[in-house]
Amino acid sequence: MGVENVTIDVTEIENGISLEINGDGFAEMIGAKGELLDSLQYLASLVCNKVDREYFRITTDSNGFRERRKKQLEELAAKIANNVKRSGRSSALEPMLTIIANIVIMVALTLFTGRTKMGKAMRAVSEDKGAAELMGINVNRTISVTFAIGSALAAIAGVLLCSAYPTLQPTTGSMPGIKAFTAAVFGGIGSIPGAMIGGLLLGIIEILGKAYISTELGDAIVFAVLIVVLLFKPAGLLGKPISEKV
Amino acid sequence: MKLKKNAVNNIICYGIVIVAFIICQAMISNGSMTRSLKGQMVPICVYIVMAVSLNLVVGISGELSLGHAGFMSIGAFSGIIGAAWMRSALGVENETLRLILSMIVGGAFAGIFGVLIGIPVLRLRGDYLAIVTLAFGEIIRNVLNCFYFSLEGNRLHVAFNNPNLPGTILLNGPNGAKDVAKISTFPAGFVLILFTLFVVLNLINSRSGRAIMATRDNRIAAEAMGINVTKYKMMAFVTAAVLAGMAGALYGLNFSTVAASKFKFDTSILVLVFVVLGGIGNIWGSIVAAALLTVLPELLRAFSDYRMLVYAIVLILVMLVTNNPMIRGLVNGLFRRKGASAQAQGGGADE
Repeated sequence: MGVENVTIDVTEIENGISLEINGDGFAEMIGAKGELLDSLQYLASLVCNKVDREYFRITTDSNGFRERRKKQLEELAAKIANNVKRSGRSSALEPMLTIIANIVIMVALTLFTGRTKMGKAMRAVSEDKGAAELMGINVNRTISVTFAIGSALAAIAGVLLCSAYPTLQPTTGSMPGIKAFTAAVFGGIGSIPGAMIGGLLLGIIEILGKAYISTELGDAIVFAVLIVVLLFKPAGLLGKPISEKV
Repeated sequence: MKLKKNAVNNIICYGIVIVAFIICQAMISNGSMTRSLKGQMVPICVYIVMAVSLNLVVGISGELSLGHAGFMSIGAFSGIIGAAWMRSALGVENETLRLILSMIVGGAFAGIFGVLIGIPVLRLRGDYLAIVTLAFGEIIRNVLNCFYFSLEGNRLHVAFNNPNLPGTILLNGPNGAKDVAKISTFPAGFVLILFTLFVVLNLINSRSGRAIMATRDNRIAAEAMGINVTKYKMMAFVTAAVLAGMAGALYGLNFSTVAASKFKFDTSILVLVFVVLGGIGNIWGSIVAAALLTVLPELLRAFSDYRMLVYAIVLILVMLVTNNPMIRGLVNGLFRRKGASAQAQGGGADE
């Protein structure tokens, strides 16, 4: 694996042992947050605790990494506490990537369908295919581009979903697919900000419903809310009601 | 004697079903039918009825309904509970009689829910109607997952989210029903198909059927002619729900364990695929498509792991080929030359 001269020193501590791992280039492999050390610790503890007896503690360390990390975290905490004291506002450690990506994509897509030539072509095709073709729009190409953009955005959503819930199977996307369709209709078909609002609202309602009302009926509550909203606003939240010309 | 177009279509529908039944019965009594195919007979009948009833909603009434499996599940579970109750409480031992009564019970409950669901659903249009039917299908599945039914002597106990019930458990929440008496038979399925065809074809060729097709073709013009759009759309929707419930009862009584997870959104889409493949509005088309696509996974057994992949490819190829304008022109030319007209009822839905 590229690590030479590995030495493991075992010292007994209360309820278990402590492993001190050393090797050439090992310090670099650990990384800034020590995830490699943590995973080795977890795996070793899994193996040792397979037998049914009192919990056997295993801690791993390398070149005083734990000590340094502890000091690092304490300094970070002190810095943030000072920030908060100074500015009076709350401060977050990591940006909300999903929400920011959401807003960026929504703005980009709204500008795309509203201002660019291809976006106008898409809207024209959806309104009247025959007239669009007469105006010189390549209908097949426009529909293909629409499908392509939609699929690409779905792929981005899939990446964000997997980084939040790290299990992946070929059938992972089927239920989110249904919920996506539902959210789009909830927000109003034909309105991109509506779709974003619909998705946010639906997600919040689902989680709150599962937590406070009932876990098994979570999906049913979401769909029931959808039906009630559609009864009062048949075109969705931000949808434009399609009027037919006779 | 020149037959009218409708009569030819009806004869084709009944003819296909009766001929197929005779052939299959001959094969079964001959012993030349494989065991796997014999086990598929009742599901084929069930899916044919589902496809024909969905065709009534999608093709004749023009509304995309994505929640048809919900009615099937209601029919299945009410049929199972009804059959068990009839056997122990009413002492009905004759299996055929129990099956027929369970199908009626299943159809009735599905019809009630069809009315309840139809009232909010049918005031929407297009995509919104599709989503609301999808939503109702999922709600039904979710709620059925939480029900517990048990039978104690003559009394039926119902509980919601509470598994502690006296007597023998009929419906065990998410685990579904188990130890179901398998009383479904292939002749019963055949009779159900004939009944479905009788109802659907007579509805289509009647005054009400023409009113339904008018609301599909041009809603505003139909309303201007004095047709009560809501009434006729409800008629189609509830009829389809009742037929789906009866099919569901037949389906549920064919397996010894039935869980609500068998009737997911995937089943609704599967039935929709049968309808679209057979031709929207074309009744005998959906019969043939349902039968073929149900046995197709068994026929593709040679491909082992790639079975479902080949299934999907076959589906795509068939769709592309049958919708190719060149081939369509050829086929239409052939039929026109022969003098008989085999045009689908749902020709207006093509635009």
